[in-house]
Amino acid sequence: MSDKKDEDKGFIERRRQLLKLGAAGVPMVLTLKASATQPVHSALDCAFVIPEKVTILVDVDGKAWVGDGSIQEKQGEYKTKDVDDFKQNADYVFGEGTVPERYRPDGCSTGGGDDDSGDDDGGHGGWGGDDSGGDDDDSGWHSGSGDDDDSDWRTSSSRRGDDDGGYSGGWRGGHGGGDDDGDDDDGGSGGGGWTDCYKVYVISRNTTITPADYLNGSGSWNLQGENGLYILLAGKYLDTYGNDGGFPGISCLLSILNYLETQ
Amino acid sequence: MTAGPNKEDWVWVSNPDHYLCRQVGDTSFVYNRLSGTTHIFNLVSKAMLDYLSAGPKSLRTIVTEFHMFLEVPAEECPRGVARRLFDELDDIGLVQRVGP
Repeated sequence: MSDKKDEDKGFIERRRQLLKLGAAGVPMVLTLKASATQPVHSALDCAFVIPEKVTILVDVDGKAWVGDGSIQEKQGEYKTKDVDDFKQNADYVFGEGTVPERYRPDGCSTGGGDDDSGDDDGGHGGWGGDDSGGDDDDSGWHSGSGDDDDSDWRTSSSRRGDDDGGYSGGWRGGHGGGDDDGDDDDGGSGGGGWTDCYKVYVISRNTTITPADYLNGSGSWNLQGENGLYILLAGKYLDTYGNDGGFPGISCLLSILNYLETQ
Repeated sequence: MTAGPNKEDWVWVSNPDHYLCRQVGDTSFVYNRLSGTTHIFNLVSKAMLDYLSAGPKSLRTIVTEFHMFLEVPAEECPRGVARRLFDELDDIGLVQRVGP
């Protein structure tokens, strides 16, 4: 009788341990391909829904602000006041060099760029595995552009500690009102002006993002469009803060990265 | 996380006629007759399958009461975890909506 009780206790304890894994975002179901020749982790099939509209503001230095505000656009320029308001109220702020060149504005003729550019380039360049500053980051994200691409991702978790120091200066959770590097006054031309020093990406409400759609057969990432940018930022967030659940889609992305690391 | 809207008062069930299950230790192999796919369940996901197969339940009941089925305190099985477990079964087509 007591053996039976011990057995039951052990059973419940094993379920408890699994529940902890579940709470950490680990998938509880694995799926075998119909052919049964290759197991496929259901993590790779995960998708997440963006619950509310997300706006991503990117500047010429590769900084990014994520929030739910709106920014007026006119012929490729954005209303300076809207940009400033958006930056003040951003939910997440990513440091210089975070966003690859291809997502940044083509130029900055209105002089509204951040005035802290160049101060800490080296610290933010770690994501792409380069040591020449933040501008080369994007090379680590193009698919098929070299063997280094996927290694950037596969080793991202293990490199977490290395990168933290580099990102800590430029990352802020929560609202960006307490900016301490003087970039909030970079509208330059005043509240009524327009600036071309930023690029805005909008992801509409209820958009479903399936990260695996941006993976090629060799496990390299091919991030395109605004959804690709969102995954990129989610990866950055994950790399620094881990899976704290604060950034929609983090659990899904983590499960994929963990899966890739085991391959 | 599954895509699409899902209301808490919608009622769901797993139909045991739709799957075959073979248990090996703590692992269960579940063959979905409808999709032709095989899935590997652990003790927790299998518990969710059993829970849903026992009878129709609203999503609200599922996320708030699944911990009782597991015989663990609610804080060890938060609503979000129960919801995600449900979503995983939903994703592979092992639950069906039966109401309201």
